[in-house]
Amino acid sequence: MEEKYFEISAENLKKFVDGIIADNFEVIAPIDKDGETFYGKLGKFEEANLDILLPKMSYKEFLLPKTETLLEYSFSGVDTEIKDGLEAVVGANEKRVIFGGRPCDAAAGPIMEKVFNWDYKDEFFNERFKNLTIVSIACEKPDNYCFCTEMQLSPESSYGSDILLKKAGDKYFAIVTSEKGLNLVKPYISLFKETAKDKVPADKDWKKLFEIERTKSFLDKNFEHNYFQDRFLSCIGCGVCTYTCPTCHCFDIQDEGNLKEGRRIRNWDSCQFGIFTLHTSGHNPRVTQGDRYRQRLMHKFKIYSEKFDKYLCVGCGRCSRNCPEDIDIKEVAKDLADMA
Amino acid sequence: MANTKTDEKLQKIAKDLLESGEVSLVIGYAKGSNPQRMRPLFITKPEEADKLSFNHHAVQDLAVFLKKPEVKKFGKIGIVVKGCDEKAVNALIQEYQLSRENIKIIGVECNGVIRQNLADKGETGVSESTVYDKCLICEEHTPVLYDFLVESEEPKLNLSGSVKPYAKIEELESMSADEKNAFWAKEFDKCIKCYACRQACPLCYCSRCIVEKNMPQWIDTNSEETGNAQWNLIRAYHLSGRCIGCGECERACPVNIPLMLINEKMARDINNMFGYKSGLDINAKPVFGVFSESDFNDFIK
Amino acid sequence: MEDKDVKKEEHGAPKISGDNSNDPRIIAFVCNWCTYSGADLAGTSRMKYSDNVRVIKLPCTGRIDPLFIVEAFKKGAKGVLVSGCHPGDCHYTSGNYHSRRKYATFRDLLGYLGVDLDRVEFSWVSASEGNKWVSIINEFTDKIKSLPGKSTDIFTKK
Repeated sequence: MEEKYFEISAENLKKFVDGIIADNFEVIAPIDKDGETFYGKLGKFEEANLDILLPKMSYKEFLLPKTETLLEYSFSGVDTEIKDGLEAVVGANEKRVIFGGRPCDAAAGPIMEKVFNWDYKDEFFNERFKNLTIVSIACEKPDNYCFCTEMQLSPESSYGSDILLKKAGDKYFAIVTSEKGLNLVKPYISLFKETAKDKVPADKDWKKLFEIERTKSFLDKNFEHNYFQDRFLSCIGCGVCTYTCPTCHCFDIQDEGNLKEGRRIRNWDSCQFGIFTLHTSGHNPRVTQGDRYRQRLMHKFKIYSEKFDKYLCVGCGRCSRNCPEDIDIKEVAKDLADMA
Repeated sequence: MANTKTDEKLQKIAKDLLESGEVSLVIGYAKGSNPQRMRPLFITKPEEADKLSFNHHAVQDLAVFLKKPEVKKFGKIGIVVKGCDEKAVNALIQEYQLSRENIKIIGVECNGVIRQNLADKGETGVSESTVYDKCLICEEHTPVLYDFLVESEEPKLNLSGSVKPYAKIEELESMSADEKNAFWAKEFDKCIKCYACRQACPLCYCSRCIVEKNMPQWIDTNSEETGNAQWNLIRAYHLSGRCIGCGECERACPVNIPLMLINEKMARDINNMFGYKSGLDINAKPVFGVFSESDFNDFIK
Repeated sequence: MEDKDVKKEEHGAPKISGDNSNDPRIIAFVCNWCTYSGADLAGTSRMKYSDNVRVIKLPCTGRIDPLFIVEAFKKGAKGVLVSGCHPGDCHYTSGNYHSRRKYATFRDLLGYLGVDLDRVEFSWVSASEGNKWVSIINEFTDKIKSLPGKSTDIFTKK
């Protein structure tokens, strides 16, 4: 679909959001909770905090829940009944809008979609992604942890957003990029004023601190380099980077239950955990934390791009901000680029 | 950032230790990713010592690294510790995870560290409203045990009494079971089972954690009511009588579960019941390794 | 286990009751040398007591990990009893002294997190105290039956 451009006043934006909440969309937006901001269900527009840079966690849980039931079984003594977990997802048909996220978070959706439709179509992911409409707000002031520009996106990118809002004084320009976005706007079209592309303020000239291709070329040739073992002595393998990351998607399948009944679930997992690659033989190919963090860098900045033409990182900087031991992945990526 | 006297003293101690070969690794703090952050630094050569620093942003408990096999293999280690962190070193020695001869304790006097979430927003002032609750009740501003001591240049924390640390604990104690249940159910609902609390804790050093046992699976792995509550309960129990109150678990938690409300409460109750505080004396026996014939018995029929 | 406990399903697999507050399942972890013998004495003396309880025998209360209590609740127990030798009488000398500290701590923690402490009980029952065993079981079972239907929610799915 060709992009459509609109203007909307701040007041009308409020009406729009309150309107879609009333229309039974589940609207997820940044909400303050105990002094920090997380994505949460919006009751009304006022509850959203649109001034902060980013909520602490990504909204990945709405595409890939922390725990997802894949199937349930029950054994009556003679027959086994199996219920596909997908039925519940399809049946719930939860129409959601992520409102007020940033371009980095939005980009994570299409990036993850590639691996979830690669050698196997993950219908759980696809169903949720299909029901998600993303309305992002462009960034005006990234902080020193952000590096979306280096990750070939930008604070004003519309990649992954169905609607991108750009603030301009007391109004917003809305760039609608998809049918989904247009369908969301249509019932409230009176609040929007259609406009032309040249009226929308041009993107600023965002500068890069390093070239991600150089980071990749270092990773291509330096698997055994000491940098990984030395630099990540301070990593405690807590997994916070993985869990707060919008693009990390590794999961662990577990079974819960007994002879009579039970279920198979998948939980979020992290390659930073010590037992992530522990074999039943007892051998662990990634036995030091340096090995494990190197894997993270490889997956994000080399392997994924070789398979899917996109880096598995949107440069949101959450891993750096949330790391208890202050490991800054932007610094690391720059170090690798400098050493290439 | 110019070197302070504290920094210079630290750097000299580390340099001497590495030069003489008394240690092969020094773990300390260095400037972090922004001016209000410090981060752990690992140095093996004397000339690297000039990167060491310490100030009121040094929040990390460096004792957490002593459980890592990659760090243990250095053998003799020098470690920069605040009073709270030093208690973790003591507790590790008490539990035979570390021998006293293999560790050179470089104690620093600390008068409070600023909460990292405030520091990230620009806070640089140390006061009772900007530091962690643990600092307000701290009795180890000077570490109880050390091989070297670096005095602080910062003024002592002014406690007016208007900020009540861990006030929520008393509030919870006075609630009914249903109210407590509701409070904790809401908090544990946030848990994402990242186990950052465990990883950040210097005393969670089991090479195979109980959650990783699956024959039988004692603790559900799911990130729902059952798995979350079971995990947080068992971790709190395994820490009872051992936790030294560094608060790293709460700081590392990405969803802000107030874990210290449990750990501090249990530490107080253990002290009341058995007269024991963890990490103060390397010769003391761990509280569950011993017993008294007159232990609290009233709850048993 | 009496017949009324075992309801036969259509296809012949027995379904054990205990899932509801009218007929709660109670698990008792007991030590082999004192309490189990005491329970045995109650049995050989033909003393009657509530049959909701299922006894799990371990060598000593010192072996009874609080995780067992959690596991019992996870599996649907409505009440858990832990019982062993009186202090000073432990067959292994000091097992019960150690467990006394552990239980005091665990009970404190459970209570703080909002678990109904009426559902967890600890006792010392010696090999000769058959009637103490009977009265503990009967009182505990009655108490559990009288508690409102809400279970120890933090261990089981709502």
